[in-house]
Amino acid sequence: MALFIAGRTAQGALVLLAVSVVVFLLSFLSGDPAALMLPAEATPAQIAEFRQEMGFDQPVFVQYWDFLVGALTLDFGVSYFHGDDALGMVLERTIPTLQLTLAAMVVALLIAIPLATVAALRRGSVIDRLVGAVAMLGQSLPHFFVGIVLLIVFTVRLGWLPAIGSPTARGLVLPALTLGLYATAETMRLLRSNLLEVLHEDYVRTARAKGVSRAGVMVRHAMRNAVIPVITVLSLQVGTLLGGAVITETVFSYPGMGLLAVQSIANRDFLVIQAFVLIVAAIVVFLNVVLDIVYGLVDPRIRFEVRQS
Amino acid sequence: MAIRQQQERGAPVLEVRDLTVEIRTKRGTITPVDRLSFTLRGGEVLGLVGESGSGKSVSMMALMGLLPAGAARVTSGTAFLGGTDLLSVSPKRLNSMRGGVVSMVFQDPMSALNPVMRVGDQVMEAVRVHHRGLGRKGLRARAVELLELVGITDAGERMNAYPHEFSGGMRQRVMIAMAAANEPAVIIADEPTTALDVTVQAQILELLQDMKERIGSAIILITHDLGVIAEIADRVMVMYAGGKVEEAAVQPIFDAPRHPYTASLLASMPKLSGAVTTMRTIPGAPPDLLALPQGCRFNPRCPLADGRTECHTRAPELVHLDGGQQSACHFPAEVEKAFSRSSDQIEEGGERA
Repeated sequence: MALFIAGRTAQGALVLLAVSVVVFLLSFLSGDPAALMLPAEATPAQIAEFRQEMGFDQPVFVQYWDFLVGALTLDFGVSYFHGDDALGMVLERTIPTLQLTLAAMVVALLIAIPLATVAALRRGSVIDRLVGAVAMLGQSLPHFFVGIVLLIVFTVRLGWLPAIGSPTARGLVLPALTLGLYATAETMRLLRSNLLEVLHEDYVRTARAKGVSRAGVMVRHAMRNAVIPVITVLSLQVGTLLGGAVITETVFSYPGMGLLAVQSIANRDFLVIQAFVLIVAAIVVFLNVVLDIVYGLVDPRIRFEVRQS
Repeated sequence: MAIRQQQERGAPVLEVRDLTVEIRTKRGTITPVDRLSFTLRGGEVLGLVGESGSGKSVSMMALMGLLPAGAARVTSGTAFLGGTDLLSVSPKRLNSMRGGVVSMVFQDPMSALNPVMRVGDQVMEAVRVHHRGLGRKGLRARAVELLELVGITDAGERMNAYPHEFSGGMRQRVMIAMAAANEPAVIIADEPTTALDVTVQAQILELLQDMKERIGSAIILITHDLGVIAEIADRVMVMYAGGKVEEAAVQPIFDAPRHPYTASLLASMPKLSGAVTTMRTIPGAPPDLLALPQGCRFNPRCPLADGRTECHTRAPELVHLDGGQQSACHFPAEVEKAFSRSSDQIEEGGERA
């Protein structure tokens, strides 16, 4: 098991290294950074001076090395726009975003697991069809639209919840629902079809032949096998959720790092953007490693493969 | 406990009368089991043979209440096991009987065990659902005992293994341990050796017989391997197109079959003695259950039916012959002559090719 975890962690580190290259190159894609950052009326001499000052005249490899060393020592430079430490600004906003993402995931699981179970057990019933319709809507409606509709209904019309999102119980409800809807739909569909498949497996028949109750068959035999692919999809959805957070946070003015990223892009504050992208990548990689380990815990066959190789 | 008392050798344990199962398909309703009746006696091994689709498995699934919900249903019949009709009992009561007084061993041990559950937990579960009072320690001890009983070495250690760490034969041993866990009156074994290596098949059959002796269960053994029947069955029931066509003790079936289908099955077995000849097959194919032939269902493939209107117009009833043999043929006396078989078939039956 230790070997398994070490292997997955090493893989994660490699991914992060690759991401760092992409993030670094991103800053060159939008043109000469020195010219972009200085006001339009700056003279060529001033631009050249600034370029030298910032090290933009150095070869790309040297610049990348500096960037990498900086990233490893958690020094991403200072925001051009705010004059604050870029990493500090992002980190400050990371916790609220993680809270939002976690809340969205909890919402997704709380809604998806029971509904998918009922839909699978009552296949073809009204509930099953309703679940299918909700899943389709959830997967096809964009975040910003759902967010605005929820705002109109629950804030403007009913006045139940605040319009501005915040990392408090009341402030999280609408953003979490908005962000979690897609994950809910996807989890629900996948779990339902997995359950339907698993319920026809021979080992489910064996369990019934042993005299295990319906609930026991469902929980101990069907569910545990059906959630394995769901875990995979959830780990992929972590990235989607963090990406979705950027839009959701903007709709609800939620003080997370997604909102900061959008503002920084508008300001061309690219050191902050670099820090943001790398932090998000690190979170996604970390959660993927964690979910891989969970996967190994749920499915013994995966552990076995690692032991053999 | 009424069931236990009836379990003495020879006394009827399970009495099935007129079991009929219907399955709705897109092309129409079929009857894979049609008014099947039989009696299983205490301590015996009843072999159930027939081609694929003859209704062997479906009838047994119906008894266990394990037919796929929705499509298939039992439309008539009774199946009394210890005074309770398996076919009309409440689902809850049936659930408490499954694995308790009647249990089942399935064909493919590779898929019949839950892949993400420890083997020990699966055996313990089989015990626990019928012995609610037993604590974890007691359950564990009983599971280890069962695994030892079915010949798994280091049972205590192997309790923690997962099914993928076991071979096919070992998994089937685990299945048998679970089936025997509560010392049921009846064990239904649905082709328990078909999916296994030939070398392992004999061991599993031996184990089944051994378990039968130990716990006194009667066994219904579904197979299409007549060699298996010759080896361990006491009586044989031959099914064709959803109905019973012949029933007898093992010896008479091999010596003198009274139904042309049984005779055809025996004739199609490869022989170890004598010259190597082309393998004989039964002409034609099993009937389409949606378009059954008029009269006797076997008539299109039967050498006796040629030009006989009776075979083509009237379905034969089961007739009782000498020595308890039953046959659903209009001309049981002619079978022997038509197939003119040698009498040493039973030895050949014992040695499968």
